[in-house]
Amino acid sequence: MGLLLALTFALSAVETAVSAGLPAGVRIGLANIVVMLALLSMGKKEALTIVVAKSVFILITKGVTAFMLSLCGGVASFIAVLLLIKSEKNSLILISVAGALVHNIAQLIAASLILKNINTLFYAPVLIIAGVIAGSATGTVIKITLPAVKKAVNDNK
Amino acid sequence: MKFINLRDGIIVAVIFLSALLFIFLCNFSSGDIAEISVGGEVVKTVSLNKDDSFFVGNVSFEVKDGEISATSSPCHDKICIKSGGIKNVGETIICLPERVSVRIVGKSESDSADIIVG
Repeated sequence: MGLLLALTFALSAVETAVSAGLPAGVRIGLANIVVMLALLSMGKKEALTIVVAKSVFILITKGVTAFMLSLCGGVASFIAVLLLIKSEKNSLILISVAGALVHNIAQLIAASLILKNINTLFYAPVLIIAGVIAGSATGTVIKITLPAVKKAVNDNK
Repeated sequence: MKFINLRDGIIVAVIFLSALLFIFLCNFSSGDIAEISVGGEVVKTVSLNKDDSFFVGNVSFEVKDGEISATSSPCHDKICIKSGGIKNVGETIICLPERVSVRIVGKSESDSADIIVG
């Protein structure tokens, strides 16, 4: 748990560095990988803790606006993933993409509320495309790393 | 849990393609009026036909060659500056920490064609 938390912070920082080269506002969602891994290998409580802790980390490093956006996105995507994960029919890619999309859309809505302005919604298609690509990528990473994480969690019990 | 299945692949592809289509449909009309808002209220409307530079709050803007861009801002991420120059209707520059947003709203009444076909 502590290890995953540390990983989230590290990935959050890496992501900020990498995002500098991407179009404005587009993020990869590296830290979301850890949230999903936690949800799949441990449980709801642990995953939600990571979501909130990540936002607090952002509050410290980047300020209040970023914190609010991060929390809205994080919690909304957590709920989406939680609902989709219940059915065995849903594939990992779908869940991961849905998580990324809901994350982006929730942030966009939060941004609109802060600006009291719907201009931001014109940005939705760009973020949807980014979300699909990022979600597919993170889904693949989760597929590859999940067995190892599950094993580590069980060994530590 | 499966990694991917046909149904989910189709769902994801449809979402992706519709967003792509939307961008292509929307992004091809250039405008020359920019509306700048702070916290939801329009505070300044500028023409993009004349080069200019000015401040709105703490954010400085530049109009050059029919495009408007944010040139400096005290915010953390500099997303507004990274957005670069914008000139197409509906495009926006947003600086969330400063609550400043710019949007291209349309064309001024001029001699341009109503619709360009083909």
